[in-house]
Amino acid sequence: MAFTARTRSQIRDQLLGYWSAEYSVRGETLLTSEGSDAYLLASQIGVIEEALDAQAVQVSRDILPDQASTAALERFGVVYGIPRPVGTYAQLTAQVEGFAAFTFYVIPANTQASATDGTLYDVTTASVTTDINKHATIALTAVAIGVGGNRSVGAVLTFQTAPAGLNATVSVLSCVPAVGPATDEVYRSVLLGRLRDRPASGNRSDWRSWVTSYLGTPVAAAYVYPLLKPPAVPPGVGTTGTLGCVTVVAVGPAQGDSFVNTRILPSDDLSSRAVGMPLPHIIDYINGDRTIAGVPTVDGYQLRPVTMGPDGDNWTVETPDTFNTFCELTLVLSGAFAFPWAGTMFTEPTSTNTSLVVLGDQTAKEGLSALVLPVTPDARGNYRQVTLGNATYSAPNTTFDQTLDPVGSPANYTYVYPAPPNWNLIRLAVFAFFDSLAPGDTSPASRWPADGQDGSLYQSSLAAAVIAVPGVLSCTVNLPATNLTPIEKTIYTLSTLWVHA
Amino acid sequence: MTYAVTRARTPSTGEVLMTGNVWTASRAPMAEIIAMALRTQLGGCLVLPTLGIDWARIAKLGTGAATTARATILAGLSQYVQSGQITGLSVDVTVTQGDRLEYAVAYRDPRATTLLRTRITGAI
Repeated sequence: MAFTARTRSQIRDQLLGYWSAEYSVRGETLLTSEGSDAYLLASQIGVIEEALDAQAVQVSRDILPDQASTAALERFGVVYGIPRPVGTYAQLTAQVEGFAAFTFYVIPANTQASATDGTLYDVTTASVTTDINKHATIALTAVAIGVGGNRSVGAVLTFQTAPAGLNATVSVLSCVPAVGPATDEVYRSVLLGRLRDRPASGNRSDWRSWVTSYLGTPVAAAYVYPLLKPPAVPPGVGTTGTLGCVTVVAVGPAQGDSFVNTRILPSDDLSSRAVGMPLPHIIDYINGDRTIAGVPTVDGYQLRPVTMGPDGDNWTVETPDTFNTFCELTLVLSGAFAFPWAGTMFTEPTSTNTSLVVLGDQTAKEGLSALVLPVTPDARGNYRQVTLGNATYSAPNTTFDQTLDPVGSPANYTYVYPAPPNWNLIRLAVFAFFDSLAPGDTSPASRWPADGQDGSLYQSSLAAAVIAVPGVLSCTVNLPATNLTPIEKTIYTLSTLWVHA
Repeated sequence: MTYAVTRARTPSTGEVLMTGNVWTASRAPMAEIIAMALRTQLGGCLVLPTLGIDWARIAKLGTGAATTARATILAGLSQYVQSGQITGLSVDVTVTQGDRLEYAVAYRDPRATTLLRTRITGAI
């Protein structure tokens, strides 16, 4: 039962009531009016007791981690051996320049580079071969955890000791940003999760903990499939019900508006993403061959049970497989968010990046918003929103000048749809819906954690997510045409998204 | 036996009067409250800031010190009149010897068996 602190006046009144009762037993009346001796004494005790009550409330909160204060959380972490997640290491790629083109250069072990503010990076690439411009790409990992290792593209780093044949400075090409220490709420959920499902001797909680604690790349979630033997040649389902085997599917952060599916973790911790494939750096970490930051090591700590081999025959950590699905929605929008024009248009093969050619006289749509499908999409959901430029009709086609708003060379003979004013919010709602889907389960179910879902894509749930967008009065999901339930280890991902009236 | 039990204190200092190891019960409970108020600067009691007289606002050498002092004492004790704990409150103040301000507070305790007025005197 929760402890409720009393105020000083409540304590005072309780004391006076108690004392009065005691005097009454003796046949006397205690003077308790304001300003009386007893009143002042009870008031003084009330002040002290109020502070003690407040402390008692805090102690009652601190005895369990669900409501504990920061200091108490840290103490729980010490007692249970679960440190606060300290964040991740920034991962960089950088361009080096060699003295000659098409030349192989060795980068010695323990080579480091530093930023202008002194931040150090370990170079994790062992060798490079320069291209025709004498350039090559190396990978670096910040030595220290945290956002201090993040760098913008174009930042210059300097080798501590330049490898033979390479220039002393490198230029940052990309950065997988690090994150800082976990907040109290995140740390609390970690502690509670570990208390509820305690890792021990390689149980499912252990496997999840090992995978999610890896810092070489941000792992958002890990799903454990007990007794699921990895396929001989990935990607594949594997063999269920095999004693001594386990498969862990690691899922990256939500993709959101990114064109890259970040839920598929990179096998090199940087950018090489493949569905349904092992994650060798995390596997190495569990084998003790890499540090928690993903740096090769010879004195690492082996996490897997000694009864399991290191080769991945009986266990693996891999990315989820994916199943792309089209998403076609029929929307009824409120007047303020009405489609800007009615119907559709049909593209002609003569369209280019800066010229949209459609069938028929469509000049009335000049200046209105439209959705076009580039032949090589570059945004999640594939369709691109553009404002239709100056229109010229020359039978039988209309040409829109898209110099100011390129259309990405629309695919031949595809539909152009009107883009509603809340198109971007609708996109984000659909993205968030797909990002919330977990990988599918085995039959019978074995995946852990269950997370309250089996990865199924329910049309009603998708429609509900879209209806939550301001201006959407109703939503009918035409595609996918039915509810979909994925097979084990597979998540449904969004292919092409389009909407119409 | 009085209508209510409270500790008797030395009127001038507030020390609790003891009989051996036992505190002495006051024969005039309301007088203890009034005396406590008269001994206390308004706001000086942290657990009951409304207790006391605002002695600090009285300039004993100033013009009209007696009038100001009377009004101040009446203001500090008015809460007991309003709550019905005392009636017939009167305050007399005299400035003597230049900087000595003598006061006399008189009231009737309606809960007491006697109809006599209680009179408390003091000086600052």
